[in-house]
Amino acid sequence: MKYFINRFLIGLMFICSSIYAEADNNWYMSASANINFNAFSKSQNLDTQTELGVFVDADYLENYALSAGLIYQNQGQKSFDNISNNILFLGARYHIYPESVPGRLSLSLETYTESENSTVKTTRTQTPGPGSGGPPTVTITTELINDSMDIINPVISYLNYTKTFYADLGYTQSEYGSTDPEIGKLKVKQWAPTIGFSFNDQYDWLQFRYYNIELSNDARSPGVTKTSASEFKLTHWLNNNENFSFNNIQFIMLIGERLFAVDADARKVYNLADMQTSTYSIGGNWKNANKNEFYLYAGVENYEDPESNENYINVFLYSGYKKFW
Amino acid sequence: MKKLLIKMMSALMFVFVSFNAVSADDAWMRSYTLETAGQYAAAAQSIEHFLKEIPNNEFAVLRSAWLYYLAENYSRSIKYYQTALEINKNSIDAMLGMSLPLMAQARWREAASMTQEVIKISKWNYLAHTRLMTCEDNLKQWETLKKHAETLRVYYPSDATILVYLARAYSHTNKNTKAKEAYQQVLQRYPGHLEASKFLSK
Repeated sequence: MKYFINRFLIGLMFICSSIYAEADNNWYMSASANINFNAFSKSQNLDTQTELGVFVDADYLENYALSAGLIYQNQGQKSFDNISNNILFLGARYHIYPESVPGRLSLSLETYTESENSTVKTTRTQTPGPGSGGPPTVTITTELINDSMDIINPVISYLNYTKTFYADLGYTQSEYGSTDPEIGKLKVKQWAPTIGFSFNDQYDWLQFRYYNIELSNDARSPGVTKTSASEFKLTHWLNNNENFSFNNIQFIMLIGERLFAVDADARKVYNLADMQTSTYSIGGNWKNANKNEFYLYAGVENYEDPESNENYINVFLYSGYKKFW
Repeated sequence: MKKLLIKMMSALMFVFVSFNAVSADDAWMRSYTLETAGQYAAAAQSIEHFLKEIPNNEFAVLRSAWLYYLAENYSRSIKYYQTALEINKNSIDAMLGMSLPLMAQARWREAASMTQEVIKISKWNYLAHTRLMTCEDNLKQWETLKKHAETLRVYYPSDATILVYLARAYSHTNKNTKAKEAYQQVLQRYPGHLEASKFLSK
């Protein structure tokens, strides 16, 4: 934890030194804190998972931006003691305004680092039954793996000037290292193209993102080398001028299969070793004139353990506060 | 003979200078005609040779920047305005001009910064203040906009635009009575104003 706090502080110092170097009033800062509480039901191993995140973002006009964050995960296990992970997030964005297109191109690079990640691995052993034709005996064992996690996420995006059309192409390379040679490293390559557009006089926004994920290590993701999923997000803005009013409402649906995914919008790493098969969530945010924002989301995620084929459900509540300066 | 030669040379020089002047006038005229016809890129191209001859031709740079803004080539327009500011860093024309393509590209913070530079030179410049209010509106800086519009209305009491921004800021900061008053004043200055009428009919 100390290592990550140090790195987070270094990130913050880098942001502050950049602000100092450009000693003018052109920096726009924001800071956010959020909590994500997950309750698992029908899972053999998982009980709860709590995530706390703190992020600082600094934008220099509409030219470039720097971000730093710290995510703390605490996973309640049924068979083990709680597992705690700390993820360091660092990001940078640069905006380009080319003559050839009527919009802004943005290049961004985000990283997620975790030196001591802990996950639970499930192993399914099948032995032949007694005599001929007897039912086989299936033994499911679980073990705790200590590994590391390094994620790099470059994204190129386009947003037109009227903010009615958006497209991006994100590539994520995740590496989950392991000290256990039998388990080995896991490399995950994720391609996530996105398209979004507004309608209803810009009161609504529909975004579609396709996830294509390739996994390198069969021992870490039994029988799964490739997954794909589609995510739909519908956002509706309310024309509400009242102070601290309900600003927008959002519906999110994910269908398909997703394993070790990274959600760049939510800055969330899905480092559970189980297959996410669907997500349905609803949420919204409240804003006031003093640049305070509060958001709340609730949803259901369905998972499948690729080893035991066991299905389980995660009910989550995600809430946060953001302050702009 | 010498006198005759001098007279002939003078006459030739007069013809040459006049021809060039007519040619330059023609180019400017063509540029204005094409602008009126809505052919903004062609209008900019018609004065391009002035910039090739003298890259620091301030007026040609400013006019090119304006024409590329009209042609919706905002990035090129910004480049020309930046050149204009390199030629003359105190050019209010260039600063105010540059705020337009920046706003068209939704670069509200940069546009605000540019208008603030104008305000440093010319404290109560109407265009700079109204464009800054447009930026504050788009950045949803309601408290800032409210204070800004409250100050400006003192200097421009008959202006409807400032009152519209003031009414919007009041509305977004939960000061509905004040918003109504401001919108009523907008209707006195601009009868039938859509936004004011819509708000007051609620």
